[in-house]
Amino acid sequence: MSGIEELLEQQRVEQLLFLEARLIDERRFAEWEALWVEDGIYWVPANGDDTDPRSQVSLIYDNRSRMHNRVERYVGGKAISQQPPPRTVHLVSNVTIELAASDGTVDGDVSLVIHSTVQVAESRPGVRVDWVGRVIHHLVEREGALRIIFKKVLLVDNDQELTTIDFLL
Amino acid sequence: MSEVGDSSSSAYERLIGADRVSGRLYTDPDVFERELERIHHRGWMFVGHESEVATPGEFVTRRLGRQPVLLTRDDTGAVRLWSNRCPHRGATVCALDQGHTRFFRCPYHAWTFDNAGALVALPGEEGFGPTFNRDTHGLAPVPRMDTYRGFVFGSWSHEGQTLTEHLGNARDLIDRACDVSPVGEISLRAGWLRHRIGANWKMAAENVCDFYHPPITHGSSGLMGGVPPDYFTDAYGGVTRDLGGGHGEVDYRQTEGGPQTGLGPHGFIFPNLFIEASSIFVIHPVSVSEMTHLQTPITWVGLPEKMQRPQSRRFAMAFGAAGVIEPDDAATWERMQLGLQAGEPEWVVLERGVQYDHTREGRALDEIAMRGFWRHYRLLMTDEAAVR
Ligand code: FES
Ligand SMILES: [Fe+2]
Repeated sequence: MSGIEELLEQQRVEQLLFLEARLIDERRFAEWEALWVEDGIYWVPANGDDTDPRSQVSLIYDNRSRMHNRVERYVGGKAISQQPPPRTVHLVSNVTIELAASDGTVDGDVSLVIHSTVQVAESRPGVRVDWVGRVIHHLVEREGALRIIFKKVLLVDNDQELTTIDFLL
Repeated sequence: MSEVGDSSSSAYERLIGADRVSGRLYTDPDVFERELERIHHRGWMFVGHESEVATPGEFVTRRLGRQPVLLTRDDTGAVRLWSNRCPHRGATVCALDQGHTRFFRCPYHAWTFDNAGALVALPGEEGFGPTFNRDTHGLAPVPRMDTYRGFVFGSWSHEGQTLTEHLGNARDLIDRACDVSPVGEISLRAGWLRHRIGANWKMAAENVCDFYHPPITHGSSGLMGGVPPDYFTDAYGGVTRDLGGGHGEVDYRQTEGGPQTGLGPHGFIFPNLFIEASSIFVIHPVSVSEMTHLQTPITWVGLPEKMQRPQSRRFAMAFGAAGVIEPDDAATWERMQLGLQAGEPEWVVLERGVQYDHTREGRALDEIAMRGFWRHYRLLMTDEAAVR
């Protein structure tokens, strides 16, 4: 890749991550879901970063139908923890393209492996919490667009006692 | 001075009625201190499961009441329970949640203990003089530890009821949880989710046998989808039982396809253990207005994978700080904690199904087990003889 192409690729990836963050904060969940491919996995491990999600508990380990179930709760009007819904602001930074199919460092379906960091300011009545973590996205090209197939959020305090997380990280 | 105004036993007798309790019991820091002293730092409490320290050298750290403890399996294979406190100057000897080690080395002056608690090394021992005796400076065991079918319980009191006496009828809950396994054994090795909730611990305890709330509180979860509309009604069947000793359960075994979706029983073992069908929950009191809710899925030894899997899937979706069930319970309790800051009306109402109290068994939605919880609580908070 030329320098220009690399810049454009970096820009394209960042724009996707920024868009994802904005869709969450603006509670545009249908559009957020549309960023995902059908076989996507959204994973927030507990008790460490490299656990086995099949044998160890996770904070979140969602396939697409569970992600859908989760966001339905947010908009369904019945969840007590969403009365009122928590307000969030996601700050995304330190975006690096870790691996890319174009340089032969990933194989299979995945086109890009992206590392970033996120800080989420959460506010709900009487509660103001900052959530911070490293994030790993796996992106795929589908119909000319980049979409998310895997997202893993490594909260800095995932091995500690945590308050309710009833929003998307 | 306490909000209760008078911390004598007679004050508690007034605050805890047969079908109502004072809201102050959830908000007064002095009540919380008395609970720790008389309940959590005296009676039996669940601390962990033998499977968590399955092999020699494995350990986990927990709190028993407010006090840090260390559960180990020593080199002879025995399960032991220690104060996680260096006998020298008091630092915790272990900072990890779990792990495997033969020795615990204190970070301050490097006193080193084996997993049977013995002081086996310390720097400059000769400086302590000829009278220094390693044998009297080992880790302090929690005064009493006992197990029932792998469930480990501890008590900070040197005397009192045996574990068998404490468990009473609630032993049946543990039996039924274990007997889902063809070999009668469960395992808890998936790790714990630890959810910090801004509410008094008793709200989680009472909620175990509150089957009045699920269709409302959990109406959003999607996990209620496909259930008959009369599931959580008196007509559907199911019973709630005051098991005595503060223990209670909701039981749908007589009702085909009742709303208990897991495999095991649904019951509360006073004061901190909730066996939730296919999960174990532990309630840690933190302050009068805070608790931690620990949660882990049960694995039944020898149970076919296809029966196990739906249960662990359900756990993954429902529970923990980011589940679709647990946050609604937590939000409800946090709302109660806020609401109870209002001193009027004084009472929290627990009247549902009082007409069945003489049988200790009511309809599933009745508040019988809650009243049983409070009857036992009242005894511990007032009666000098009962707690010794
Ligand atoms: S406090 Fe532990 S060695 Fe001194
Ligand atoms: Fe609930």
